[in-house]
Amino acid sequence: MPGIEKTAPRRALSAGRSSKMGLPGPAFALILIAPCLLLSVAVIGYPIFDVIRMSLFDVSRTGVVREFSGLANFAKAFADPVFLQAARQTVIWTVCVVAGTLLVSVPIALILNEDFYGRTIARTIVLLPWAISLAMTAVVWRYVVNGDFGTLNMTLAALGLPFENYPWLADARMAFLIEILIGILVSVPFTVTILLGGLTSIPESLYEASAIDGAASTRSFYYITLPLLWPFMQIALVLNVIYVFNSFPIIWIMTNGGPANRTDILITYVYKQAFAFGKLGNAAAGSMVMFAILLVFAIVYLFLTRAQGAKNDD
Amino acid sequence: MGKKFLAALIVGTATAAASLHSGSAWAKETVRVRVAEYSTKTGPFFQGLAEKFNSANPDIEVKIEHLPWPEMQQQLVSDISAGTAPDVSHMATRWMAGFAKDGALAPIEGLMSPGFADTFVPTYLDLQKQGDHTWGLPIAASARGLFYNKKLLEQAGVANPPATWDEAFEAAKKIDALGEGVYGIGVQGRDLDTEGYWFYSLWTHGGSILGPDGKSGFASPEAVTATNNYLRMIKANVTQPGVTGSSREDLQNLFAAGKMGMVLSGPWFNAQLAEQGKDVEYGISRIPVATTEATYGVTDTIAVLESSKVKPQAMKFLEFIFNKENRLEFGKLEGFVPVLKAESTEPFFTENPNMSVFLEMGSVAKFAPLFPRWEEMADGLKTELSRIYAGEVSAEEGLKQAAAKMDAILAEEE
Repeated sequence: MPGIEKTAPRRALSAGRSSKMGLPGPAFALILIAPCLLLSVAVIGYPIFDVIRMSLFDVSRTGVVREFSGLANFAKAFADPVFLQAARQTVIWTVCVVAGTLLVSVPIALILNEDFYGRTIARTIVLLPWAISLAMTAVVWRYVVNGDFGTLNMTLAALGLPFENYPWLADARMAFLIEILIGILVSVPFTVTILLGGLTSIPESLYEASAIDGAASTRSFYYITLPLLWPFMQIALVLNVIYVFNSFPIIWIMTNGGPANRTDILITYVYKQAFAFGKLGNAAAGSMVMFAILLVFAIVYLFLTRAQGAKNDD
Repeated sequence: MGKKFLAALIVGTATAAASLHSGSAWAKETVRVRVAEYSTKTGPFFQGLAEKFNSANPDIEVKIEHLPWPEMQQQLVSDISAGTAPDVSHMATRWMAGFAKDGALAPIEGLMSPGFADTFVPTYLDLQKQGDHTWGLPIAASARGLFYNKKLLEQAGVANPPATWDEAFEAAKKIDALGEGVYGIGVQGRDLDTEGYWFYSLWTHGGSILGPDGKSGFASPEAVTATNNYLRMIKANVTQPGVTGSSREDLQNLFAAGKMGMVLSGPWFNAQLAEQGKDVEYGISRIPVATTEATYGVTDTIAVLESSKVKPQAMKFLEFIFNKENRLEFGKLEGFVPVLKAESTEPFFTENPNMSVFLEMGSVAKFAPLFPRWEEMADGLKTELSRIYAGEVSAEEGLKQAAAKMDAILAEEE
């Protein structure tokens, strides 16, 4: 702490001095960040440019860009019933995982915000799924729900339930439900972290004041906690939409989009188009559709965080 | 301290530069060879071959890269488009057609030494040909057979392994009736080779992938009968539960655990059983027949890429790995069917009952067609099979959809 206090004024001092020496502020700043900016544009911009180009051209399976084909790739994608099915399923997947995550995370964050014995351990446990790679989580769960050798059926059978060899992933609806639940499980740590940050920012004095006024704890939850937590929930919501919409490993590893494409989402559809069928043009068109959707959410996120930043500056 | 460090740095740099220089003086040609792993032994095996080859050929340096199968296709596509492809690559023969069509592979008939092509069993080398060119060499070949658990068959009172599908159905019923979590026969419904499992039934019922009119044979009356052959087993509950959730590995694991009476698989399964299914006493017989004897033959290809600048050197290494001695070692290691004429007479293949059945079935083997867009056609078929096995559509209806998809792709290609 003292370190920060010592260096902060010095930095302000030196900044003041340089502007006094007559260096043009904004232009000089721009020059200083130019290398970073160029690198970012190259690293982020080039792949986007390449995908746009591939989506508008006829592309061979080895990535050789042939003649311009206009919107033919898009037309093909929208004429493919599997693409439309995957799009529908993407909406279901995203809505269910994100809504489920928020529903689970708010109570968890509230509990973890209370002062209780072993809170640090509890917080660590909640964050643990975050530390394991998504692919690994999916592999483990694939084994857990295996009909004949999985621990889930073993446990259920030991409890006397008729699940000795129930094939969980054979039925598309059941498989999708399981994938959604795992999706929720892995999204909770991130969301809880954001919400906990939000909860710590609510001053304790508000609760004390309302308690003095005789407000019950449910009332203070609805009139203090929820409204003040809402901006953080919005951010968690938008960021989760972006992550979940694009989430590949759980579905790919557990069901590969099957049975009969019933668990395919856009990202698995695009992957199959590109790397199993060699239709890079179609895959690029599918990616562009996803990019457009995500761009909307990214703009919403920017808008939310800017509004938030402006409020904090006041 | 600082000075010493500096001195060390200078000496180090100088040595490195000198060694780099002397290295380039040799002007070695580097050949990058990528192989896919059939087992954990594949990589080290080729590494060993490369070392032998390198010491015998001081002007060539072969570098082996080995990758797991599931990553091969994606990695190869990305590398070819990025211009970083290896000189030689292993691939599934069914991808080869697409790569050849797009000009990514080099024709090798002009690179091979005279007489080399004649050392191969013609069936397997012919599969690597398209148009007027040979696009690769058959690095692995396999046929499929019926694995049966001797003890379970005996307990169920089945004297001989079933020779026909009707017998197989009856045997499956009896084995399944043993209870204790034992299933009669495995039917595959997801992932790699789901369509292959269906071809066993299709071909032995006299059906074909491509009809005589050049259109899809997926919806032919034979194909419908072949599908109903599996359906009756699923409906009678003599298969494992949840066919649409079972991959090839799932079936093999059940059989290796002694929980399944019969499963159709290939010679590689011997290796898995030797490790994980030591308690399972099993035999292998020919694929049950309805009207025609057949099996699914599959080859994998190793090809030289068009982008390679060291094609003759690459071919030299390929001829080295395809000499009789090296092939035999590979065959014993991974359990594949011989692709060289000289290998086929080896006692390892002819006297071992777990290998000879695959060798015998080689003569009735049928193969998947080499269409550049075969993967898509097979995926369409897989989707419909999944719906049929789940009981959502009838065999006629589902197969009609799969055939329509295949015909649409065929029409687009022309």
